[in-house]
Amino acid sequence: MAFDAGPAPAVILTPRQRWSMVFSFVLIGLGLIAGANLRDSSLNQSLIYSNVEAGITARYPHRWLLSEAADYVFRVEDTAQLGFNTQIELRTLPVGPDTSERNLLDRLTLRRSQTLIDYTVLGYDIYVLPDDNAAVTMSYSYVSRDTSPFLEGVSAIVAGLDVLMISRGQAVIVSFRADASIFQRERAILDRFIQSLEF
Amino acid sequence: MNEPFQGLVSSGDGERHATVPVWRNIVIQLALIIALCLLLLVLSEALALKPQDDVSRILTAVLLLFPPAVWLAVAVAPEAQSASPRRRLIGVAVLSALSAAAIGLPLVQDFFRLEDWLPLETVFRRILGFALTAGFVDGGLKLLVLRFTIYPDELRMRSDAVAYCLASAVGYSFYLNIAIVWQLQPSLAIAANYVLANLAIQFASSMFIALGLAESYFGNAFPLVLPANIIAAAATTGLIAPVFTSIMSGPLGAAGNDDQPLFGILFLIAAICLTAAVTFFLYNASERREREAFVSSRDSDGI
Amino acid sequence: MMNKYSTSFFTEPLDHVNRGLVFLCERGRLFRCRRAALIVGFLLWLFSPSHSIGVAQSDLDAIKRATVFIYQVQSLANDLVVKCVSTGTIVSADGLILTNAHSVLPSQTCDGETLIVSMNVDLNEPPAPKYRAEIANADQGLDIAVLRITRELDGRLIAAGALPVLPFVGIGASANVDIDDNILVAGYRDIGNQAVTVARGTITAFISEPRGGARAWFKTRAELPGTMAGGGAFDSLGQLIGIPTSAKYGRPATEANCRFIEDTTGDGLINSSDHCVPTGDFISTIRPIRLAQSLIRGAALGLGVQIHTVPTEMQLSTEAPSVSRLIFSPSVVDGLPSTVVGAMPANTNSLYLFFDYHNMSPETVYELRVTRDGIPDATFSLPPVHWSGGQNGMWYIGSRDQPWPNGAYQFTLLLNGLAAASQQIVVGGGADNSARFSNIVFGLLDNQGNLIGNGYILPTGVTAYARFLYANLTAGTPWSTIWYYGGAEVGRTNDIWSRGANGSDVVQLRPLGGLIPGKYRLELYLDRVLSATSDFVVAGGTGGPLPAVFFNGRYVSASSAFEARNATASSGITEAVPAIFALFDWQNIAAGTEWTIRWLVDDLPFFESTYAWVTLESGSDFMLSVNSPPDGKYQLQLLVNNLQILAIEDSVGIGQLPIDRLAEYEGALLRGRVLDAATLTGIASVTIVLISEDYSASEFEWKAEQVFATAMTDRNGDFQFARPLAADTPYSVIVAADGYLPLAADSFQFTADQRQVDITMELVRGYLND
Repeated sequence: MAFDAGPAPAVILTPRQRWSMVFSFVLIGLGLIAGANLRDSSLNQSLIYSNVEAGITARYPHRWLLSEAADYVFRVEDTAQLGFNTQIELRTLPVGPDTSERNLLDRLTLRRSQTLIDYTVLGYDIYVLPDDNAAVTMSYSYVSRDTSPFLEGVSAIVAGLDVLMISRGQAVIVSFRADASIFQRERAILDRFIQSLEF
Repeated sequence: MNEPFQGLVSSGDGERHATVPVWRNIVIQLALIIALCLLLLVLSEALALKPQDDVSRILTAVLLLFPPAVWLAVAVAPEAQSASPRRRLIGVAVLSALSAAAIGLPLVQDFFRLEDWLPLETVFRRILGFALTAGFVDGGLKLLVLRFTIYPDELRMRSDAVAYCLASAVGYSFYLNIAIVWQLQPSLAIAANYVLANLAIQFASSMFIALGLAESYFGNAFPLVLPANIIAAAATTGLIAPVFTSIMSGPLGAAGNDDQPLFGILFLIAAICLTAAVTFFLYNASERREREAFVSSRDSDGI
Repeated sequence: MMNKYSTSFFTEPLDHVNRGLVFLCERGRLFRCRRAALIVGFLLWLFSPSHSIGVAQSDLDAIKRATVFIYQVQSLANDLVVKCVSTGTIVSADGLILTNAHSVLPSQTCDGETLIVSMNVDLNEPPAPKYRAEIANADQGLDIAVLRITRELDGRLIAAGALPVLPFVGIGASANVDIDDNILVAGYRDIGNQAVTVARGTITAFISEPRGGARAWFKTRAELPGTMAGGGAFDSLGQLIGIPTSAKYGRPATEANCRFIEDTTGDGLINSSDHCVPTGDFISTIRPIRLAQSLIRGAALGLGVQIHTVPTEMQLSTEAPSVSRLIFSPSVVDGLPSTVVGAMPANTNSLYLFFDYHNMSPETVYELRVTRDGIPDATFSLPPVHWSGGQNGMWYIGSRDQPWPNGAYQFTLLLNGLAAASQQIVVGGGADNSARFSNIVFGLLDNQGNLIGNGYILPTGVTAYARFLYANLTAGTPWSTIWYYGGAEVGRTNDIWSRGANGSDVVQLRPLGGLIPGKYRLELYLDRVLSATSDFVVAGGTGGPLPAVFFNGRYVSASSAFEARNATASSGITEAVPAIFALFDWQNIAAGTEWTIRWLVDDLPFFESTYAWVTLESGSDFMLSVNSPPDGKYQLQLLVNNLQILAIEDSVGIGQLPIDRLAEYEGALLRGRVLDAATLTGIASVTIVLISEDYSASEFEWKAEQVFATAMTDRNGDFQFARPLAADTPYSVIVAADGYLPLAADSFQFTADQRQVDITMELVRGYLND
């Protein structure tokens, strides 16, 4: 048996064939939506941190290294980040009747200027909290460097943002730090963190 | 290999194929590409040859160009001699490559940001993640290209679907390979692995799309058959990519670890062979069924 | 000469070569071939770089990493001008550096005020400046300083605990070092222009001095340029046994030991008008580490001793330093000559030069040049070193247990580069049977006429007695005694010998008005020739075997010196206190009497210093303090003439020093490189998490408390864990980096013999371009 070679006549698709295509593209669309969801769920996976003593509960990104120390209540950092590890640090400070928000931020500035390279305050702003209250923020930058003297560590410019919230005679300072080049992209993590923060 | 519905026409010089045999060409192409990748792997890993940068760049370029070149030589060139040539093979390949460049890669890299979250997930989530993102992006784009270039006008027989889907795979993977080599500048052994991996993924994905298209069009199959094949195409992408990378990554011990390009390439060869065998089996079964249906209807018509 | 390290006859690769040759010979059954193989092996060993000392390569690397280069710089406008340079050795993980004092303490030659520490990022390259350091403890006389890294290079303070754990060397036992032992000396051969080098040498002699005893100095023939001063000398175990030490004169003598490296005048030229950095002469002396241990301990514990009773230091004399009365003695008894000799017989193994010194200070550079038959003798000479004694007194230098070849020896003492005095002695000939006096000791007589006391310190009273030995004397020989007080003659007897040939006798000094506090000397002459001499001190009142010089010692805890004077004595301080104060009373101590303060914690000294007494002759509440003392058992010892007069003890907290985890760190140094498997280039800024042995990788919940240590790769992908891994401990490792497949492993453990582990990890990208 032999076939003729030549242009095929115009073909009229059957309803099944048409629906096949429709279903296929719908399926692909749904699949991509599911993929986006999976991405978001993965990127936004979080764990609960709770400190009864400090009266603080918050959700922090999954697989970030959690540490507690005398200087701060807790700190989480993204150790998988190449470059400066994006980190969120939460510390509490007592607030006296004469203590202003700027007093607290200035105290942080003075302390950091002793140990951080080229620590510079970039400015102050307002951060609207989930409960519509306003918190004072201080943005700053400094240079981070690997401390090992035996390695050729490259310095990174770090951008930071302190969000200062005062409640019940206690100041809670959330410090968010990330490599300056990805700070804006990463800032969503801070927003999610503050959304989840209870103190 | 048995080529269903493969016909011969007579010419002045003798016999020639009515259409170019697809499956045999696929085997030849894949065999040649695998051979080249294995050769480069053996040269750089087993014999530890470290070519100079210039030589390495030339070899990488050869590696990149080899799949489309083989495809042009083995699959496209014979079409000119065919009585019933598939005229849009190159067009499909080019459009597929362009779609990968314009939509596929940006979508996967910038929108889905696989780099940021997928590698650190569990194996199951990585398979699922690859399938739902890269799998559907690739499959969708290739289907889109095929839908608006050859479907249904250029489909005269089932092997046309296979041939065009292969063209789509070659074009799509060609761009992905260029991109990965451009971005990473990997060593020759790893480049061979990546080139074969992209080809294997696109080949497997395309073969399932081809099955779906053929069954949908020639078999007038239930409307969910093509979507089911799209799912299968995405699933193969989801399976091959993460398993391949996992195999490439050697286990860590107190002495460190090493990558395993040989294991990677062996896995890819197995994946290609398995995909080809499965899709050929399904293709053959469908075609047999169609032929039997055709014979029985002819008999019933009293022809 | 084969030595005790000859077990490492072959270095490892050469051993393989040699074994291979022997194997071939055995196969060929060629007897001669085997011998040839051994010869070849021997030759390979001989010319191998590490044949002489069996230090493992990992230990060598550890030594090199712990060897730093130190700049003493001076701030001029916005510039830092190099004033002096030296090598140093890190002796603790928290940044204590041991080095010579003369290059880091501000002085006329080295008048910088800032110390910059350069470290080896790459062992094959010159060091790179990394930190600033401060002097934590120093002894100018011993020429030893302990520095502490306190600031980043840019001057920022390093917060407590923020300094990474630095590679450091273990402190060895310098008392176990023997003549002909092989040593390694690490340091820098140039002013920061060469990579750290390790010189090999042997111990050729020990030099004795009052400060440091029989092994005050090690002599070596290793070729050590002056810039290696302050570095480390190491034994075959890679442990620090000494500090190569040399002194620099106030003005460099030649351009060979002074380098013009920068334009300090700002005239655009580097010439002789610029400041030149003294590098010193070649070094052949090593200070044993034993003498540095109290300084290191004091610095490590942050224990600084403060003396509140002033004045404590004598005013330095403005007169030029000098030496006089050079005599020889074959042995030393409690720091004093046993007898005085003019010649020594053949096979002499012990000889000391004694001399009086005047107006000396730690800045004085002194040197002993010994020639034998006119030829310089490097073995018994002491190259220029800083003076480690007091201002005035008697000193000795010599050696024992080492053969002195026969010959005519000339001993020349040089002070600040100028010859000050010389003396000759002949070694050779038969045994010495000449008449002599020897072994003078001082004391009081009991009721039975026995000499009692400690020998060299007497209480104020009426009479001082001295017993001496005599040998080979013949009746009728004229002999005489001369007593001195404060350098002036106070008594003399001349007599004719009428006792036996051998035995002991007692002479006495009964000055008018009794024995007043101060320094005394007795000289015994035989036939107008000095035959024996000895010094003693009169101080304190009668109070038993030892005079009551210091008494009523007690500890008090107080927040200030003022409060301490009125506080009651404590018996065990249970809480942390800002300072502990020690007080004591004293009586009858003459100005200039040398006394020593030695302070110990948990029976280990952390402070020892000798002073000349300058305050009132008698008084009460002499006060010293130690700030921020950690828990421990503290003992203050007060000594005169090396005799302990008073010891008071008290405990703080639990009465035991806290365990220093850093000091006990031993194990494998884990370092390596993280590569991108695709490109085989290093990946920067990857964090490697080492999980403690209590958790597996699957149990890891990303909590810092589960982490043993973390390390981050540098721009080349190199990483290094600051904390060594304990041996045979199963750690787990996780390497997770965005874009790459994570790596995880349990049972990540190393054996005790693995001092340094280098691993390579290849990360595979977790996605294709798709």
